[in-house]
Amino acid sequence: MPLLNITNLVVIRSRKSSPVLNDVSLRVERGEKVAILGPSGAGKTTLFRAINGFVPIHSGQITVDDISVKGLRGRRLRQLRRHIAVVSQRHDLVERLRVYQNVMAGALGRWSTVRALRFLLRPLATELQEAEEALRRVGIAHKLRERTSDVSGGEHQRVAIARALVQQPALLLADEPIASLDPDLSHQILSLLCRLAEEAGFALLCSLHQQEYAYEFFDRVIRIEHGQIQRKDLRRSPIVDERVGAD
Amino acid sequence: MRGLEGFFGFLKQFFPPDVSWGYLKALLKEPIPQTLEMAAGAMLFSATVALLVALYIGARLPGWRFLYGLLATLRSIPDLTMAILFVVVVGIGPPSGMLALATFYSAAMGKVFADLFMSADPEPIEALHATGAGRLMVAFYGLLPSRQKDLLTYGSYEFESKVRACVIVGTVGAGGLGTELIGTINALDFRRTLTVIIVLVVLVVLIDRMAWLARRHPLILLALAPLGAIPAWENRPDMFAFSHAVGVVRAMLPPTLSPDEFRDVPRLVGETLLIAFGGTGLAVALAVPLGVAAARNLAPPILYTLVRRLLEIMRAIPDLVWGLLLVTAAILGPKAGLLAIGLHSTGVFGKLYSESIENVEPEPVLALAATGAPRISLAGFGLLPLAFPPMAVLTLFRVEWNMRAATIMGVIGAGGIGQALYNAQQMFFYHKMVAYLIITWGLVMLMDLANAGLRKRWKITEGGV
Repeated sequence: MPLLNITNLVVIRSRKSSPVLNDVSLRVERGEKVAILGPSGAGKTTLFRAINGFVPIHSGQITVDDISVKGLRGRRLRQLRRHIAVVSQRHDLVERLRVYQNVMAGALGRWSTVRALRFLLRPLATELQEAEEALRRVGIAHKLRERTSDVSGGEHQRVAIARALVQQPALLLADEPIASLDPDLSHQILSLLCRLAEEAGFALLCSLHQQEYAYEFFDRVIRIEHGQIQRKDLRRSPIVDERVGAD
Repeated sequence: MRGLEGFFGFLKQFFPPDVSWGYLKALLKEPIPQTLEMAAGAMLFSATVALLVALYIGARLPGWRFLYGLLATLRSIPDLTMAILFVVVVGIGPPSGMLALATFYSAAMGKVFADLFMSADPEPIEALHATGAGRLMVAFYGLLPSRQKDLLTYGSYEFESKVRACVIVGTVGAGGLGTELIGTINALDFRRTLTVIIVLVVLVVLIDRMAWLARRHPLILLALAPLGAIPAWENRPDMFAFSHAVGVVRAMLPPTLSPDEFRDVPRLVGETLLIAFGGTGLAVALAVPLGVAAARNLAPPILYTLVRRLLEIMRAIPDLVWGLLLVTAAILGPKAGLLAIGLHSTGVFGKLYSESIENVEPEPVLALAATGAPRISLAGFGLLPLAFPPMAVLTLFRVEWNMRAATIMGVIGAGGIGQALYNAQQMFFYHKMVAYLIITWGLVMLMDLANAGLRKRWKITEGGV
């Protein structure tokens, strides 16, 4: 049983315009690292949001761990989301919170309301340790108590990844995680994501623009254009082969 | 010219103000504390209710649409109109004033807070939802922190306007400085009227300064809690009177108007609209030059200091008090209402416009200055065009406010539908009063809806102010 199984997925924005995602099928196994390549507007972000239950599924199916996403609501939807972490290019941290508060927001799905409120006001030492440990794994443990708006762009991304780690996910969706970073930082962040996926054993589904990174870091590369998957399961690419040969 | 001479002759009667120790002591003993207590009590109550309700709406918990609609409905009954109603239902004195203020401002603040939450940056919010967090937790980890600054800014601004509002509800018999003010005018004791106005200006300026402090050290606001809790408790409506209140409300229904009165409604509505729009127009015309003159980055220090004081005074005198002064000076009907709203709003706009000009991003202006352009050209080509969007937004918001003010101007004989409403209350024609109340509510509601529609089209959110 694959961890993520998408079959013939169609997502529409309105009845008149052409579908955002058209007949998309995709399987991701546990612990697998898959890259999705495609230009802006190809439907990558929509695909991720559909997996997480943020956009309605018109037809087709998405199952995560054999649970169908379609029509899930309330508590059941939240339970599903607990196991899927998201890291994106967008600025999706709450800037006014401290770094450790943003990191531990990853635990909100499993914490009780009372505990979550208490943590905002008075975090326990053990909880701070957990946050620090997650930050240490992404290499910025010293930023624990800083205001999130004060950390740099690359560090922002690391805080978001630390939040994803705290979530202890089965699947991590990384939506263009390096879109706003320079080549050096991009390289660092991608190798970090892949290393963490191997260490923690979660599957990684990552959308990218740059195909050289895709072939360098991922088990499998998928190309998506105009809402449709173009070429499937490119396990080896001529470019990579050439480069390997040149080396 | 004769009219003008008459007006100056009238103004002369206000001087010198009565600053005798005896009178000041009398003011300090009751009206001033009463007003501040009412303001603090109403503020505490409405801020708490507003925040909770807004978080509930912002988290989109079940029934949030209904609650949002309720807020929009309640805040369409102007505070004074509500006070007139509560004076009938609860009885004369501070409790009814406080109840009216608390109800109105809970709704008004609640709606603004809810709008702030709903217009919060959606991405961090979605990211929190993506962790599987519940709606309430998303509210506390996402909505509250990301809007904290705007909440404080708006909240402290609210306290200032609440003190003014307390004075106003005092004029219909709800106690405090307002009742004192009306008393001095009715007694033609204008020197004391001026004293009360000066006290008011000083209070508002002091609170303005405090608000500035509170924005820097938000925890100060917590000290207001006990200050508000005591008067809120002391002025609580008498629960024993509850059944009486229900009886009074029942006796008011159904709303009825005679055919003659019914035919007069279009005139009253037209007058009200004239007061609202005319007053706003007048204020814009006056406030643009004054706002420029008050901008620290444009005008020389002597000029902006003077203009700022002038604007402070114009702002500190509530529109209704301006109306009272004009009516006393024998300027009657809608003309008085229009001028009153115009003068008060000039003070408000002048301040907001000058701040908009001061808040303009410096880079494009510096680039202009680098061409060697003189100050006036800088203003015309750089500062004013850049400051225009926030100025337009602020004006649009004020129109809503002025619509409310226009519906209550009649209470003091300055035209519009408020006159009919107040007369009906004074003569115990409660069926008629409720009819006018419904018309007022409808008028304000329509205006709010039209305004909201415009903002939606122009993609303006209250959070952007």
